[in-house]
Amino acid sequence: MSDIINTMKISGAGMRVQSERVRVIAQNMANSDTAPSKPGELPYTRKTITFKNQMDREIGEKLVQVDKIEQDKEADYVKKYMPGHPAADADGYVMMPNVSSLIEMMDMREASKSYEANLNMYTQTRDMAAKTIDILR
Amino acid sequence: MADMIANPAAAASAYANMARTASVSDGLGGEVSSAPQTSFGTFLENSVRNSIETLKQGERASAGGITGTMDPLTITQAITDAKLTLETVAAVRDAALEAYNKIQSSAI
Repeated sequence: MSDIINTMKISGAGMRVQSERVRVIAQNMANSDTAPSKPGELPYTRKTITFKNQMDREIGEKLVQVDKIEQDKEADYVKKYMPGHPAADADGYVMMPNVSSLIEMMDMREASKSYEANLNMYTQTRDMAAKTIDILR
Repeated sequence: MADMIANPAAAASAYANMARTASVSDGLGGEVSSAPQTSFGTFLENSVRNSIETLKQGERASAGGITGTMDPLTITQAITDAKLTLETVAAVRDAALEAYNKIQSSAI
């Protein structure tokens, strides 16, 4: 039975990190138009999330965990021509966040599918346990 | 198979094997004390004790869900664990009671 419970914990950890990934993506999407308030300031910087495989001493299994949530320094900010904006420079351009809605949506789909896969594992394991217990009845 | 059941010595050794297996793991994820002599009663008691802790976790998760201090995933996990544990305990209890009743009603 402990194997079944451990499997459920492993899948649960998978679901937990994917939900955290969705949170980061939602934050990126929500801030995709967050411009700076003054010229020279930086706009919202896209955040990225990485995972790691860490030993859980309580159950003696390696579980997936969130490693780091960092700022994406690789992608360039987008320059948008908005002369009336308070953050516009001398030429009328405003630095906009380096968030691409296409990338975020793809990440979102991936997180959603991964969550679903873990959920299926969880449900299958639970059903296996329930069927095993049913033998006693 | 019929020979095995008919032979009382084989049945006794099978029971002894089961008792030895029971002393290693309680079947619910926890290690039972490494006492050299573990009776079926001790095994059952340890199982129930572990089960109670799992059920308490389920109760805490329910309370957390009502007050909104826990995320749905944690609540679902704790409740599923508690449900499985309770079902196991209930099924084992039913099986044990049934066996006990059969012994009681057997002809002497």
